[in-house]
Amino acid sequence: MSDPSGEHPRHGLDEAIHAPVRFSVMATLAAAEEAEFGFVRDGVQVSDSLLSKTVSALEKAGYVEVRKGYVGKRPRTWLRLSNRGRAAFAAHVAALRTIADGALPPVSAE
Amino acid sequence: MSTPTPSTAAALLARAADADARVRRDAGSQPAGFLAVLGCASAGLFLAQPVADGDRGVLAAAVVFGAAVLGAVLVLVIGRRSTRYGFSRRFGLAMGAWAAVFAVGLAVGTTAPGLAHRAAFWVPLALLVAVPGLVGAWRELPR
Repeated sequence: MSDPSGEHPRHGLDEAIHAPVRFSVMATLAAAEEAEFGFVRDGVQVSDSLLSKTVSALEKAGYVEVRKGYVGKRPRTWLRLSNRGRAAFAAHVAALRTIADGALPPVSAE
Repeated sequence: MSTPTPSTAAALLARAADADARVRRDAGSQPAGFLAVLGCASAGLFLAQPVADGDRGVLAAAVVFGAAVLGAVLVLVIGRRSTRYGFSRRFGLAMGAWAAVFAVGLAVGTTAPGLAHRAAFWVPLALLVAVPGLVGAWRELPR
């Protein structure tokens, strides 16, 4: 699958998602409608503070929405992708897929 | 931003697939359990109607139904750590279909003359009321 525009697929990568932890958080949330903070932390295998920073950055980019609530008396934080975040992740994954397939546009000799 | 090599990109895609599988495994069991309990408990309640011995029997069946559903709700709310993408729509469909069959069936069965203890009415209805919950549970099962 090659890009009909001839543009290198790296241009489809999203800088806000590209970092490994951000990518893992986005991948988890893309599969979920909503996921609890602890569930994402355990899956991505990061500390609470690193996940908080990552979520803040993704929230600032408009990709993640945070909802705080309670189950009984226990506070819980729920994370979800915004529509914009879902679209951005889908585009990022499509670009990765193109790169993984090795279908890069030919390099022109200049 | 460094451009990933094809192998790095493939590794990232594999990581995304792993995350997807993890959500599928984790998110399905509580909703599936709730919907299965709802379907079976509703069928049990309806099956109890023709065999219940008077109001006390009907009340006992209703209490068992209420306790089963309440227990399933608690497990659903407390144990849930994630929900699969599209869960609200699927869950809403299952609950809407169940509520419609349950409400109409119960209203007709308890108000129409001669139906209160007629097995020919309640048994097919019991099977029907179980369908939305069981289909919904099957769709939510971890895969």
